[in-house]
Amino acid sequence: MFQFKLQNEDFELILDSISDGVLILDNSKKIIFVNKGFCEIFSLDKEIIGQKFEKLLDFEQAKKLFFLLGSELKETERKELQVKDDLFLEVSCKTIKKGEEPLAILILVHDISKAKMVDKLKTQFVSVSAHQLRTPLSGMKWSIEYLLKGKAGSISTKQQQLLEKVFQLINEMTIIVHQLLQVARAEEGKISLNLKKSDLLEILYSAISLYEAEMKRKKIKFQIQLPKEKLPKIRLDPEYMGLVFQALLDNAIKYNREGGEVEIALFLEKKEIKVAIRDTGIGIPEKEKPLIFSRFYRATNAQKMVPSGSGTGLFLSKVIIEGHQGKIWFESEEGKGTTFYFTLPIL
Amino acid sequence: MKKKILIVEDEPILSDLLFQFLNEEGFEVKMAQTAEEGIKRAKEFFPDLILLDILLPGKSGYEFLLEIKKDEKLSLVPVIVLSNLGQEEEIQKSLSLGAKEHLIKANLTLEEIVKKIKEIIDQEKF
Repeated sequence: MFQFKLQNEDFELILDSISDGVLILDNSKKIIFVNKGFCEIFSLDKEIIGQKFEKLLDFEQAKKLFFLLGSELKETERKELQVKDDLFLEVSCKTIKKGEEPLAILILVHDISKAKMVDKLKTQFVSVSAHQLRTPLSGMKWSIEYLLKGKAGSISTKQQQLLEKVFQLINEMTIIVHQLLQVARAEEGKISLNLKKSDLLEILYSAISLYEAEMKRKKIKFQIQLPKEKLPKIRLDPEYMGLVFQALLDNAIKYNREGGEVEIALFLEKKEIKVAIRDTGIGIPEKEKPLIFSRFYRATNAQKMVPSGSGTGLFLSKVIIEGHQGKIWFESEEGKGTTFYFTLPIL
Repeated sequence: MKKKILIVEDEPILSDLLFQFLNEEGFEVKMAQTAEEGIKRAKEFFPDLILLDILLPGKSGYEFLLEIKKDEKLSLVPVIVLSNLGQEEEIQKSLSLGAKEHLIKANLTLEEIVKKIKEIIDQEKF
């Protein structure tokens, strides 16, 4: 069998031929290797070899890499780093071991600017499309309203019923467009919360009222459990919190069986309020759990049960709850049900 | 006496519906399709309230707000921005330029818009 051993200079040649950046340090955090890609990304040259990792602080762009990893060079897996307006990187940092002994520290840098740009364009497209959709929606809504009021001549009962249905559908479409816009905003990191002391229960009850008819239709047994103590008013954005309750309730009902249960429990803890929304629905397949908060993602069993759906509710809920410095998570068993939890700090 | 409304809106289907509805609600209504035409009309017609779109051909609704601020008489006319732009900074921009309200067209019925118009005209009386 043909075999050959690579020499050091061969390695250098190979690593210099890739566009990703590679930097290797020894255990004393001295730079022992840097490839051409790394030098190009950070506008420095190979003379940095032999210097300590701190030397990166002398270079405008490389400085940001130093701040990301810290002087202790913490283990990092594909972390995003914006170096310039139009330069986005994905950075990994790993200690290479020989047996149990640490041998070297490897830093890998991958340029993701193009992907970020495409993503940004996609987000802008969603945002512009959503705005553009609102104009025809307004025209349709107002025209139907005009007809329903009989201002364009009398209409029959049947026509009235059909027009009312169309009016309702237009409103549903308006909500979807609104959600799409919120997702686009969240992607741009532009969700701005208007925090004010608010009554969480009031927001919850108003969300529940939107689903009363649907719960009745599906014969859902609904329960709500409140703590003995009165909940304090906390600083939050009522509109966005309403969206979170709506998204979680919508899922709990939509993916539940007929005659199933939905239970909402609120807990007053030392520094936070915890909310749990439990259902006896289809649950989340084990494999898909890590993806459930991703934008536009819908679990396969959810798609099967309800083909239409935008896959934005949980993504937005996460962005909103985290924007309030809270946490959101879930427990779920496929076929049995799901409980979503979130916390909000008492501020 | 009939209250006078000026609609500055470039989308004919929307301005026509607003025009008809407001007329039937007892308002005297004039329309303009651009900010420039709107300023001209506002000076001639001197409305009790202006309904203003933001995305207009040529000058935007924001520029319209800036212009009327410079006119001693027109700067007193209340303006409701009625647009399909509805992000927080867009709303803040309208309000900081002097609009009384920033409403999102798709979220409102004609009846709700009329209610808002009446509320604002009533406030202005005092």
